[in-house]
Amino acid sequence: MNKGAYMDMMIRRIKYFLKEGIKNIVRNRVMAIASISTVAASLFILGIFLVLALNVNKAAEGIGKTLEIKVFLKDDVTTLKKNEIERNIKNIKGVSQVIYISKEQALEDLKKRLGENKVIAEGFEMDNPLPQSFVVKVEKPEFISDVSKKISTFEGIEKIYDGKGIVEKLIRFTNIVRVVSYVLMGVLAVISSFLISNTIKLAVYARRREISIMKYLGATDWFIKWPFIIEGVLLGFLGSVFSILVLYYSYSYLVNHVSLNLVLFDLVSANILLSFIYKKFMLMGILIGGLGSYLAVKRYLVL
Amino acid sequence: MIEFRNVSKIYGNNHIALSNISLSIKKGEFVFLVGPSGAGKTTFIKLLLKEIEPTSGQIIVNGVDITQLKRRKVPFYRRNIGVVFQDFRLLSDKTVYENIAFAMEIANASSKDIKRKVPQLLSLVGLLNKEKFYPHQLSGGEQQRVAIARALANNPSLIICDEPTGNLDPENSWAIMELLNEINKSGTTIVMATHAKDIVDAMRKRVVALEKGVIIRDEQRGVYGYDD
Ligand SMILES: Nc1ncnc2c1ncn2[C@@H]1O[C@H](COP(=O)(O)OP(=O)(O)O)[C@@H](O)[C@H]1O
Ligand SMILES: [Mg+2]
Repeated sequence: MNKGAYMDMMIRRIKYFLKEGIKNIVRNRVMAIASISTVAASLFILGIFLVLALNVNKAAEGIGKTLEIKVFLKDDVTTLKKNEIERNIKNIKGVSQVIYISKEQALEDLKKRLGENKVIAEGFEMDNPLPQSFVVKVEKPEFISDVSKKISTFEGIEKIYDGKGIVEKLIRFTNIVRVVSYVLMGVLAVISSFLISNTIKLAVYARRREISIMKYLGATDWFIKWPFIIEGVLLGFLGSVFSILVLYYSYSYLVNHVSLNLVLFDLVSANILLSFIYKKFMLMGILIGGLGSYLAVKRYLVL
Repeated sequence: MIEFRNVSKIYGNNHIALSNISLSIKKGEFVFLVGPSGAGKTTFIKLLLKEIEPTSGQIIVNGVDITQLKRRKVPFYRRNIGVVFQDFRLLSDKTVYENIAFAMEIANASSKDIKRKVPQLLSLVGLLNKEKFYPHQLSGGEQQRVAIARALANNPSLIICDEPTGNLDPENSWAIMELLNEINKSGTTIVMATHAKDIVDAMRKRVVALEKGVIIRDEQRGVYGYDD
């Protein structure tokens, strides 16, 4: 067979397998809809958790940007010592910026904050009780606790404020959400695969006469198997498309109608969600479906 | 082209369906396999199609011992054999044309060959005007002619028929036999299991008579020889 004829045959093959796969789905509508729905449901649940995780991450980043570590120095720290501490802080991995605030600067800031009540601070000029300090900024919020722990081991440090672990809590929360969603997704994926495998089993059963005829005509095992594999892959794929659409439109609705009242922070936009999930979800749908049909073909298609 | 060497088939329930059969069929022969129901005719045919395995013995087809044939190679072996059954076994969701084209599709024929060959076959069996019909829209005789056209689709050197006229009235049966005779004249070997006495008696072909799994008679230009 020359190359052109071979290509022609392959294209006809693929068309045939697709057509048979779709025929099986249409023929067995009820099971097909049930399979598509479970795939869609499991991916939708995963999607809800992803929405949560994406938003918590965004919130953490937002808070992380404004969060900084305040490092107050002991009164007896000399300029020489102060410079050494500053160098050491700058050398810590993850530190992006170190700003020095002198005693005088601290008093200015305090006066500014007090505004009309700045008289309270009068007399501080003579004997300024405010300590000198550093404002330390980090590259990523999750670095904060490590950096602050390291700084606390230095000599001459009076006190450290690092936002009381809000970011850490947020990050821990996202991690829990991620783990829970993966576990749930795993369980639901297994259930979906079994349902698809059961659907394929029924398709194999419905086609047993055709299968036996094809064998007499000299069909190879794979020629007989492919339509069933494709049927499962299609079911999984359709389930994923369904879940993407539902997730996208319901989340768009949420962003447009709910976030206006929720001034805490801006929600991640629906389009960002879509671009984040659609390839992953389609791939997962195909894998779930492919696994289901592979299992069914292996177990129920006795050739 | 076909040689059975001491072939026995004992089914799982210890039923001996064929007992030490030895038989040789030459290329281009037309052989009737006759015998009462339960004699072992279908078992013989299933062995030849490698649908079942013999309990002992060898079956050599075109120089190859098919009992040793690898599973992977069985489809390619079958493409060289056309089969016709009593119950036609056409694909009900495909038209007459598609049924024949599908057999060629399975054997990797090019679309050019398919487009050329299918009308030829339809004209040979006299169904050119019914290519768009579905099997349920055809009479039994017409369905069997489609099955014969399909059996010929991949130019097999051997055609095996298991009671091909079993579901047909005499008129249609004769039409089928004429068709098979034509095909045989063009050089294709035909093995046909039947218990249609009048057909066997009229055709005067080689007759192999089975009874209780044993060959009791094998004669050229033979007759049926039972009164069942
Ligand atoms: N799958 C099977 N399991 C057990 N016994 C079988 C099986 N197939 C056929 N037989 C028995 O083997 C004998 C021969 O059957 P078969 O070859 O179908 O005969 P024929 O086609 O001549 O009527 C019969 O007695 C039948 O009951
Ligand atoms: Mg029989």
